[in-house]
Amino acid sequence: MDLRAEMQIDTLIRAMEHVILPAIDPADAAAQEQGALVLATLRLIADRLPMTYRYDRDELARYVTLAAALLEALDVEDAARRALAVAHAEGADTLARAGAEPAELLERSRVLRAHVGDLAERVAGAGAECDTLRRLIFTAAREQTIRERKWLEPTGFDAAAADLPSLEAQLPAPHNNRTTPGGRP
Amino acid sequence: MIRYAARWLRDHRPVPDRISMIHGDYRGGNFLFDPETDRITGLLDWELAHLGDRHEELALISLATLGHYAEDGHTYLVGGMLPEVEFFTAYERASGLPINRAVFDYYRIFNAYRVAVNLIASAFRVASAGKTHQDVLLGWIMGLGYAVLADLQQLLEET
Repeated sequence: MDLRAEMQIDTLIRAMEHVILPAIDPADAAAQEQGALVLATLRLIADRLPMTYRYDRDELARYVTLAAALLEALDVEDAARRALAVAHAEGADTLARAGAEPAELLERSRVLRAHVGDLAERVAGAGAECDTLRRLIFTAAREQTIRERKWLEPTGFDAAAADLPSLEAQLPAPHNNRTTPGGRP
Repeated sequence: MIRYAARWLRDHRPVPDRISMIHGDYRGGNFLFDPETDRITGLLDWELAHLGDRHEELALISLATLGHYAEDGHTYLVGGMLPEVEFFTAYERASGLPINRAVFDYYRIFNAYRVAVNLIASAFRVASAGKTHQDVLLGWIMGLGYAVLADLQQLLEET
């Protein structure tokens, strides 16, 4: 799915810069100010969005580190310390599972997509001996397209997307990944 | 699915029965129409014009995404104009040329492939590279691409 927020925000910035802001009445101070603020906000989002996940991980790491130091320094075993110890253990566990950068996820998908694409081309040129491979590829492609259509439903181009399963149902939690194309998450 | 379709299209391309001028984007919105005389008075947007098989044009306008249902809610109108049988009958009568259903079906897949690539890949590249004053529009219409991709897969599964 290529219609990503980063690309869309860039198109919004260019539309604001080149089309919308020049058309705002120079005598309308409020509109001028708000137009400039919209542009500045979009630039801020564009700049910071790619680092959001890293920021969230850093925030958690800082609290895990601080909690560990506090637990070490606390000399009383009361309810507050026990609660902090549980929260620290859970936070450390989550942090350990949050190692990959978003860009790494995208790159791994890109590489896998390229190899699957090579195989799909071969299957398209093959006969019935590849029916199992064909079924797997078609099932996975169908599921992907259903997800993309639901993701893009707000654009209003695809009326039938309203009848597709919700994104909450289609995007499995990390501990509940699919094991087979067509399998339930 | 795109790469599967590309290979399938290469392997199954038909030989045209004649070489025709193809507009390439012939649909409602790309012609001028005089309601008083029931005549088309002009064709617009020729940047995709090329020489090819006449079935390509017929199949393009038959894409589900370029038509809609009549006010009765169940009669599908090709290109938003005529029910399918009437549309094809009118074409054969006006042109004197029969429609080869197998070739037409090939070009339905070809056009779904082409439109999906235009929307998902070409629009993305143009908008990402900041190549036009309409980047925000191109980024938005990519939303149609995956509905066309679903059509493409369905057509391939029906072959």
